[in-house]
Amino acid sequence: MPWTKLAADQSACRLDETCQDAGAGRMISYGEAIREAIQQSMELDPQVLVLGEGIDAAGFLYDTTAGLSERYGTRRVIETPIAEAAMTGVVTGAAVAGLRPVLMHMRNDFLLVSADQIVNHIAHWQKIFPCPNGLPLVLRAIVARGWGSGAQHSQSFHAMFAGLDGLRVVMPFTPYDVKGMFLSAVASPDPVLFLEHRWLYGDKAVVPSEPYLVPLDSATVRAIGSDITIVGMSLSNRDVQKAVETLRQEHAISAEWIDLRSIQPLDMKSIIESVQKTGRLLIAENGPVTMGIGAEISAAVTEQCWTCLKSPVKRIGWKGSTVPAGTKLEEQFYPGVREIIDEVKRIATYGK
Amino acid sequence: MQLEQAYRLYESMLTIRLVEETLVQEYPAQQIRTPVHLYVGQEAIAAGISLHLSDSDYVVSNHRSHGHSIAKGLDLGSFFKELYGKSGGCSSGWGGSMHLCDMDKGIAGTSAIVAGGIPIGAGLALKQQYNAEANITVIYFGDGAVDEGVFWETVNFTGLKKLPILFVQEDNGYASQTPSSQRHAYKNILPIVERFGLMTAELDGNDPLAVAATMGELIQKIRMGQGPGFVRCHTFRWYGHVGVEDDTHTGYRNAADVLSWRNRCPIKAMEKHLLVVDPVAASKKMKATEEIIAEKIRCALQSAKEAEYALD
Repeated sequence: MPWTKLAADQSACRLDETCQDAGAGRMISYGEAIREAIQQSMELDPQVLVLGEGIDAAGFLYDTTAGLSERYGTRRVIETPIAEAAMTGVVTGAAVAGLRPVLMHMRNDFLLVSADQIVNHIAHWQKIFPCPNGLPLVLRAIVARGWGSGAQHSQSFHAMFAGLDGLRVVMPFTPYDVKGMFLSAVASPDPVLFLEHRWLYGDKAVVPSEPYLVPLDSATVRAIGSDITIVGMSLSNRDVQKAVETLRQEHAISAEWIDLRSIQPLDMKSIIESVQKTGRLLIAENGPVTMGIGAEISAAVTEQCWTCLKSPVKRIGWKGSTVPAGTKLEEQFYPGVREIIDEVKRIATYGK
Repeated sequence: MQLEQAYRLYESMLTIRLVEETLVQEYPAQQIRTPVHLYVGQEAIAAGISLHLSDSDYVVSNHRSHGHSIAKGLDLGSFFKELYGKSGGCSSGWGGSMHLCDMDKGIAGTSAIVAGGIPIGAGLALKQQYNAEANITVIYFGDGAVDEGVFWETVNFTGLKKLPILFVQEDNGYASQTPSSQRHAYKNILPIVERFGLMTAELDGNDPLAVAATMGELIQKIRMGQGPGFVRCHTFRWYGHVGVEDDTHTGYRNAADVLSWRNRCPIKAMEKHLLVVDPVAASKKMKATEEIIAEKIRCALQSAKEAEYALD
């Protein structure tokens, strides 16, 4: 099995984000990292197929599948009808039969057309049927934002799908993670919902050129701090990063920044460890606050480390579930660095 | 049809019938705690198709999956255990009547969402095509499933990619209790699916010899890569949509229709055929077959009753 070998190589010589020598400091973008990961997964394993509407169209899917069909042929790179429900069923059947398919949905919003397949079939399949080889499939879907994308082109359903324990849900933030987590998603025996963010495709960072795996079930601490824990996910990490910097420099508040990365399962261990140290928690949801993943994190923190809390757990995120299109409405709808800083200041002075 | 094949067809149909009748008997004891959708009356279809399939061919089925699975070789012990929620069930007790599976026999899974299994079947066939296998996937569904969009999406993708699929519509005239006439804007689906590049056939699903012959030819063509196929099989379920009651009294089906279909029992038809083609031995052979099946069922049922409940 090529994937077992990759995991073994990985543990022999661990490549991590700070390890610069492996990629000789090579900088590539988030989008390029995805393309490289897809290509390497196809190189590693002939059972990997990629499917999607627009997969072979110039400039579509932010070039993450550009050139794949020339290289691997249309038997492995399959342009599909706009039939989300059926195509999601097709990759399910292909995975049941032993292939490792990757299906591309251009927007999160379009995922819901295939909700029956995802919820009723994919998420239960391994529980209700014997699956010695698992159900190895990846559903890629992009979260968008801005330019009036509006109600049906900007949603993020990470929390909705996280309610299904038969489906892994991940939201990588960095170019390094997106490559390693994509390879892990393809390697995984479990179905994975792989949520990318449109605004991250241009972000550049050092990414090793060889294949490597980043775990699908762990959060990562991106900045160490002692006064408050801030949890970000996908794009909201960008605001958290800036806020943490400003809080340190201008407000003498030392914030610990956790990038959630995995939504299902939740890495509560990392969050609890951090909150035990800081006693305060703010979750920056990349989606609506109400019924978001922040609600689950908040509940788990109060259940598991109530006594270590110095202030109520707070959440920040979108104002509602309908994303507006108008420029000023959009600005009002999404919280930013300023809102995070203000919330942190309120939390830090709670009871004082 | 060869005599040996005819006896196999008879045995397969009779096994399904006797298993279902066992459920009818046992169900009132309330130890089988899972909704059952009986296949009685429709046996010729699954049996006639499975005659031409190997373990490497896949079947995907729906809520009415007992017959499809048993004809494809599902072990009766693991079948009964699954229905009793016992350890050793084919889906370890997590599936129940509507989620039977045995990948070693090519029974790839069953969906209780109408038409939900149809695109999954196309995925199985995609793998068979990708690996250039001569195997095919049979997708079973009722006349209700063609009301769903995902059915048409799958037919389109199948025609586009020429996947090795046999679509089997078991048209018993009703989606639960709603007749086709209240659901379909068209009378005949066949010319429509032909437009998608599917070979088609229309059959009396209660005529086992016709089913076996037509399916044999069609399956051979699909194996040879001549394209996907679609068969509409007219048939009738003897019992209600769900459960072990005859629901004729509820009035959605005409009592005369029910009676006329019951008089066209596929198993009786097969018995008649065997008595004609094998007049000397048929009677004795059929009796022996029935005894063997009954004994198998008795053992399987006993093992299920005695087994421990499946636990997490």
